[in-house]
Amino acid sequence: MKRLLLIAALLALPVTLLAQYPLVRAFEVRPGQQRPRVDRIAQDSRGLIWAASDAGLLRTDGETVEVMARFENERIAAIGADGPGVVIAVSSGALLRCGDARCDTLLIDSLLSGARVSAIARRHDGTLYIGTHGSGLWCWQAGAAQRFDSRSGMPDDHVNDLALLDDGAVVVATDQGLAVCDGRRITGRMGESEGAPDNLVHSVAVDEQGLVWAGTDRSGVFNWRMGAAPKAVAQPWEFGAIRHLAVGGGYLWAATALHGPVVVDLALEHGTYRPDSTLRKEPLDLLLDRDGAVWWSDGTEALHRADPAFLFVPDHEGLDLRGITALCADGRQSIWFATRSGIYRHVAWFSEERKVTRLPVELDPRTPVVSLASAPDGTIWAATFGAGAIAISPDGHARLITETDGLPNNNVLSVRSTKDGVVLSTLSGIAFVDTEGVHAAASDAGFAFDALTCGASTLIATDGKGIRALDAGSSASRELRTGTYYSILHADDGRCWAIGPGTGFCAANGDVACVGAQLPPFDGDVYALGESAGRLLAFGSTGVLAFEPGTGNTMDVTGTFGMAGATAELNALAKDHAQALWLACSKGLVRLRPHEAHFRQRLEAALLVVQVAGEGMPHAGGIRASHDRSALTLHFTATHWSDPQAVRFQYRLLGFSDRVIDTRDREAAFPELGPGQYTFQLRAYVGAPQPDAPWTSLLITVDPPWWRQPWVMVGMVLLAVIIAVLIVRARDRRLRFRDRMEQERVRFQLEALRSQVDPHFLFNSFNALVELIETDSARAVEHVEQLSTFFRNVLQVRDRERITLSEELKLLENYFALEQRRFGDAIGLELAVDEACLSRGVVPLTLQLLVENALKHNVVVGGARFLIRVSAIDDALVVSNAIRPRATPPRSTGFGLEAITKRYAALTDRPIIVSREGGVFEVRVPLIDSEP
Amino acid sequence: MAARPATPAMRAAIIAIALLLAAACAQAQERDLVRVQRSTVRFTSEAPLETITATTTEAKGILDRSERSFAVQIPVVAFEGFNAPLQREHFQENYMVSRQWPMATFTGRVIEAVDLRAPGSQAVRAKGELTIRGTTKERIIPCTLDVVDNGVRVRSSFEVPVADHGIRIPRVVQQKVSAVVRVEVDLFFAP
Repeated sequence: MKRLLLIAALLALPVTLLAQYPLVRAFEVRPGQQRPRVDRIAQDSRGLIWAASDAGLLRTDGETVEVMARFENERIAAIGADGPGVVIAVSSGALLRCGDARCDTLLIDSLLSGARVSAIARRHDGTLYIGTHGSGLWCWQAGAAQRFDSRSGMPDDHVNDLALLDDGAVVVATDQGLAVCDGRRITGRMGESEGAPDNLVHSVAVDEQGLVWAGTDRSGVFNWRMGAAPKAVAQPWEFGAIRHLAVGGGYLWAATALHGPVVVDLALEHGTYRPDSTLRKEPLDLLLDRDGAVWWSDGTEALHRADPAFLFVPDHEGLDLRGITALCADGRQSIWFATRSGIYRHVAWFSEERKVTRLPVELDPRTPVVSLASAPDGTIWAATFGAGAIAISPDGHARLITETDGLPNNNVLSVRSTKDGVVLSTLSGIAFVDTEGVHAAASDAGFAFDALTCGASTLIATDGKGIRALDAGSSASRELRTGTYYSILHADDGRCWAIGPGTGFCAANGDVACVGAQLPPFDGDVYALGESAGRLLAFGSTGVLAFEPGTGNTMDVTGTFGMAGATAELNALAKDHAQALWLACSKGLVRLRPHEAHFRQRLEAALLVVQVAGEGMPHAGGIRASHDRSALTLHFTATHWSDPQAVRFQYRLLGFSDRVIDTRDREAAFPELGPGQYTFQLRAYVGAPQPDAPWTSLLITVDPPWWRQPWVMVGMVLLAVIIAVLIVRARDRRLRFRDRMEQERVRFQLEALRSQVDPHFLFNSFNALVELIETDSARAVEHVEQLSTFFRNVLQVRDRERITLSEELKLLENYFALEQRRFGDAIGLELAVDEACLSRGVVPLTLQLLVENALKHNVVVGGARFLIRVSAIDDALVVSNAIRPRATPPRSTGFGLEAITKRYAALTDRPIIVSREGGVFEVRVPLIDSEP
Repeated sequence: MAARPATPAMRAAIIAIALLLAAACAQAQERDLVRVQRSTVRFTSEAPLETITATTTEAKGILDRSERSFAVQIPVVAFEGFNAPLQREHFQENYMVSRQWPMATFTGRVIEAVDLRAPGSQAVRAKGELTIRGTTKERIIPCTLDVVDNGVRVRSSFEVPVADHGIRIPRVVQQKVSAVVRVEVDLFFAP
């Protein structure tokens, strides 16, 4: 039996070397190939980071970097968050407000020029506090600025930093101490004369409780509340002037010129440490973000984001903590860990002053400590693989327990504390060790990886024989689940869970299916199971998976925890007195204190720019586009700084398609949209989609083309009605006109007929006939034939619209022959008709009517021979005769000429011209085409 | 003390400083000005292979004892010493470009509320703008003030990283010229 040396005094190893750093992620803000030098940074209300650099104002969401504004020959002196944008002061003395689309000038003042603005803070109501170097504090509200300087109660005109209090007042750090201003007057001061350690305050911050923290030039940090005395903290301060300060989540971050960022864990008396030595460049600005992480810029293109929830200690005092094989925490603020060289104790935090203590236990490197446990009585138990278990009592006595003491096997895999001792898992079952001795049990479990009490039974995780339960009082175990399991956890809700390779999270007692078996780390080596922030955490070489038993949600948090690529020994995990998880892995000792923000799966999506047909448009309150320029591109983002690449988006365009698009892209494009109303809906998530998460919506209206506007359509209908009415009326008029023409024709025919059956005409004809019958019967026959020809001709042409001039002349000849029987040689007809005109058309009986008129209205008999001239030249037919008026005008209907005029008007535009010039009566009738 | 013939540049700088101080003190009810009567300014560059030292006694300055504000200017061209005349030429022409920027200035205030008329010795911080080679940097420089009967003696020793003022040291001479130059100042102000 091997006895180990008993040493009462614990030996300390005094080496002051600490490499400890929070999880730091660097974000490069490089637009294109440039390497901008960033000095000041700010975070807007959506979580985006804005950076003032020599390449202009930059903005990043972790995936993309945009140049929001460029300045020629000017630099950005200060930057302050302002809702979804920032307010910046440029060296020319202008104050600008910058949003998604552009920067607007708020104020230009020569007093602000020359890079004199040192800090900008925006109050919740939009009031801006502007700190200047040399002209005091400015309070800018509603377009007017009020100045506070040494004449209005400020301790000094040199303002170095500003921090807002909850009530809207601002704490001002000056060269001569702190001042508090509520926007109307100075309400408080704190300087050396009031008890502050140093007047020269470079930086100021306000924590969640409204306590003011001030970073001084040479005296470190002090905190102060209005009306109370100041209190110096983290003294003595060895890190020099504190140029910037951030306080939150129990940490204080100080930007120092010589030592880079310095962190103070405020929960601890001496909790000061400096992050990784590679980050020792002077931080030019410091920012506490909404998730409790701290950002800083250092004059390069890299922005650093440190999350103090994850603290890595790769080595301490020369001790390499990356080779830890076992780890446990006791309830008394200590953690214990074992390497191949020894067992060590350290307080459960690391700081510059804290020492590690090596236990005086000699270990054989061939039988490493694989598990540590702290028993209720203060004994630390170390389980070795091959050499049994070692119990180290609080007074330093070490006792070895092996097979000879009743241990089933010297190869112990796990030791866990129970309420009155420990339970050891070995290659051949388990053993309980209490004050009464060693009790081997459950030899049927075989190769046991882990065992712990859960309720009335003890659960055993075995290799191939499943999760087994050993009830109190019995010696045989029963199988709860089949398979191989490595770790068992007694969760805070009272249930017990187990994990193994490829199993997922398995409720130890119950038939419910395991969760997450196909997700990492279950696809590889799993090595530890822990619980934090209400989630079970499975650690493995391929990642870390969080599982929330209440909701069944799982989430891959490998990136968030900074654990990618880490490997570890089995079950080297412990929870300390402050509920922090400690994990020993290939990255060193890691303290994990995740909070809700790290498991946030629903993100707030923000629409940045909406482009319509390639042009950016303001989208507050919706977007309006015209039908021919409706191609939409929407740019959006969501911030998840602990793992920006894990952000996914879901969107849809209601009215276009109800289909939800799931993407990593940060833009959505839609082709030309038809007229109508659309709603763009967007949401973002990490891990699993959140089907009931609310959408961010944007109303999009695409206007119809002008011809489909309602008023145009009404106009069109009206126009159609008007046109229809006009057409109907025109047709009506045409019909009526035709009716009238028909009437005229009938009247004309009637008149013509009537003139033919004029009693005078008949009487004269018959008289002439009687005379001829007696004298010359042959001519009488001829006369009768002429008479009948005349009437036949009249009947033939009566219905025709027009006849040729030659036909008309034949009719006239016939008629005139008849009239000559009556008047003898007293009348004569002179024809002068162009050959070309013979085929032209005339209204039938025109000539006859005109000749008849001439005979009727003039004294024909007696005097010279009455000549009627009929000529046809060019386009006109002219009938003329000398005027020899009768003493008594003939009985006349006056219808003849009028009828001719109306008939011609229906056929041609050319008028009928009647003239009585030079004693000659002349009627000029237009010749018309013979065929219509 | 014999009046030294002032170069036009020096005269312009003196006027500028006077104006600056006048503006800074415009609000002061009474101005209590003291001027530099004796001065020694020394800079030392300690590089692995060579230590270079140069000194001037031609610093000018003014101190307002009531406001605790000051302005000091050092003619760069006036530095003497060095290890070789060629070294001085390099200093003037290559590093300081003193033809273009003949003056180094430091204007600011004493942070501590000390009485500059009550005899005694004080360690104070002077916060102000240090302009070397046309590049301005805000600095807080610790000083020792000895107030004696007729004036104020100011002594200080501080370091200037040459990169802060746009001075680039070629790789070939990095073993001979330090990147951080120590400056020691001893000024005596009196009415």
